[in-house]
Amino acid sequence: MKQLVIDFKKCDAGRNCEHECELECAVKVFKVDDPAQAALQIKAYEDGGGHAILCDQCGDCVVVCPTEALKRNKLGVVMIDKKVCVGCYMCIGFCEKEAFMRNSDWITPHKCTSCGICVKVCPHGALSIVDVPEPPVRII
Amino acid sequence: MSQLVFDPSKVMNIDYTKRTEYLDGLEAIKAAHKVLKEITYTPSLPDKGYTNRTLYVNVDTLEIKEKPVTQTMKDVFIGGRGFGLYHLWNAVKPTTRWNDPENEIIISPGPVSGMTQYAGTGKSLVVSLSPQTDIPIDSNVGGFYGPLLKFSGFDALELQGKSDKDVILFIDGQKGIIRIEEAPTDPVDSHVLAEILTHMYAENEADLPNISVVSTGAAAEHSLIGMLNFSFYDRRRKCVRFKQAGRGGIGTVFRNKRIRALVVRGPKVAGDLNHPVDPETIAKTGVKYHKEIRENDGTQCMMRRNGTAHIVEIMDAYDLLPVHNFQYGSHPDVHKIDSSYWQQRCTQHTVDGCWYGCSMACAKGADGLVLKTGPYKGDMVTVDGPEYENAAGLGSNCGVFDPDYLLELNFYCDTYGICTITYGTLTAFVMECYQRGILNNTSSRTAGAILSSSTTSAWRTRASSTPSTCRRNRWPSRAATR
Ligand code: SF4
Ligand code: SF4
Ligand code: SF4
Ligand code: SF4
Repeated sequence: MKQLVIDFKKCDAGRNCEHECELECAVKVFKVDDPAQAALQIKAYEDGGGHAILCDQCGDCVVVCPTEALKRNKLGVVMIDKKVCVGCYMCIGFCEKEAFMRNSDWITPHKCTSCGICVKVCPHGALSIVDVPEPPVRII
Repeated sequence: MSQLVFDPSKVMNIDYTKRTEYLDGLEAIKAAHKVLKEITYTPSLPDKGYTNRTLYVNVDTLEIKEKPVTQTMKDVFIGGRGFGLYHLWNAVKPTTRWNDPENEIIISPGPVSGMTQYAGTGKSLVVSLSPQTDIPIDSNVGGFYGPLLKFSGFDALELQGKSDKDVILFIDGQKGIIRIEEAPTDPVDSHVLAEILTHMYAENEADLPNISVVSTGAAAEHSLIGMLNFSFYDRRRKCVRFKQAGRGGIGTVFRNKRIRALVVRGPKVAGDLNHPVDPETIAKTGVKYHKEIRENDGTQCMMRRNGTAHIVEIMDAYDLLPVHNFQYGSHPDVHKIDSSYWQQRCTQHTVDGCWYGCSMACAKGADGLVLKTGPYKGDMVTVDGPEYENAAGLGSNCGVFDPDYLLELNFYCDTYGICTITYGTLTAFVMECYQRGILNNTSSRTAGAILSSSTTSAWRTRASSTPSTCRRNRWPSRAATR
């Protein structure tokens, strides 16, 4: 399955970049001009390190979704069908990586589609899309 | 007592999509339906939790009318129970008995009904004069009927009158149609009836989750402990499941009115149909709540794993579990019916819960049960994973420590339409009467039945040495091992 990964040896958590990844994701994927709506969020720690909120396509949210609005596509990426989703936000609460996003304007939540758009704009080449095996389905 | 740890590797691998199907007679049953009355109305969604009207239906005169919801009703009688009691008060006289035509059954989902972001908003309150006490009873129930009624345009449904033929009330919240139909050949027991009606009134497969059926079963007509099954369509299992308005005998009132079923077809559910005052706060609180269930429930109550049956071992440890008609508070065999078993037996590979967004999901499902007795012997069914009341009431209180028989009892109580709590309690009482020789199998009152549990002989020798004044007594073997 396609998975977005970050290399913190290259990403400096926004100290020498403009968080291009977040803005590009927000604008191109979710059509909003607000990096806070991006499906990835990079935070800088005071001691110099960083932390990334990224979806690793683990599939936990697929298991808890009561409507089957979440399914893996051919590439193994967890996709949301907004026509089926009832906006219960269980996917958000049960995502251990806190990578399922919502905002107050949309009733349905949104998440990373492993599309790789953010990868292209990172000035330090810190992001990449990798192909990894799908993890087994967990009981949640 | 130590905290149970959930071990996913021990979960039984049961195919939750497999069960006996009951759709054979659908077309013939549908053809026999006769429309007695049909009206059209304008469906509407709630605004700040209220649709501002209720629906009154008289199954005798076939009168169908809307009533306005007043500000006083919202201020003074807030909630499903309040609306139920308000309508009941206005419908009955001091002399009204449970089986008089003016007695009502009121089903009301409260103002938070159908919100998908927070647990428990699928609930309805059902109010009536109880056949057991002749005073008001309210019974709280999950399933989809309440929210779908609300999203079809009504804050409550009042049912009055007594029909002289079996009828179905159908509310179509998509098309704006309300119909009373005569249902002369419909099946009687809930698990068959609700499956047939769900498929009969859904226009296609995608429509199935928009249907909910309220029904009861054969025993509701022959006892005062009838209950109501509120259905919901489980998309993964592809089956119709139930939650029960059990207490007080409202299923008996339902059949006394000759109502066979209530069917609602609501609009497709979305996250904003309730139109609350402050959706953002509800969304944030819902997310916080789901997160807390994820982080804490697995090491605290384990409601999501075990449902309410997680209290069985707690009650046993505190000597509070009803055992053999409350003669004891614990039992050495309780491990066979406590949550260490249910978390293996209830299907854990799918989604439970009886309304969208309930991450607590105490409505568990036990799939793949092949019935060993009764008219449905040999059928494979999905049963509500036992709630605490069922594990204790049908289980330990009646001396049933075989979990499959416990599930089977649960199934038959559900499909026959009787309250598991009342049934368990009265059966345990009769069993103690038998134990003490007040009843025996030569007595015509038991019709020759031997009313003892499999453990009765061992239990009797212990019980006989128990001073009759000491009702709560630990099992000697259990006490010795503590
Ligand atoms: S991934 Fe690239 S663009 Fe995003 S914060 Fe890190 S360095 Fe900046
Ligand atoms: S959103 Fe969260 S739970 Fe869903 S696949 Fe991504 S990381 Fe896993
Ligand atoms: S919000 Fe939508 S996608 Fe998420 S769990 Fe609920 S129904 Fe599924
Ligand atoms: S892979 Fe696509 S959806 Fe995911 S964070 Fe990057 S741009 Fe956003």
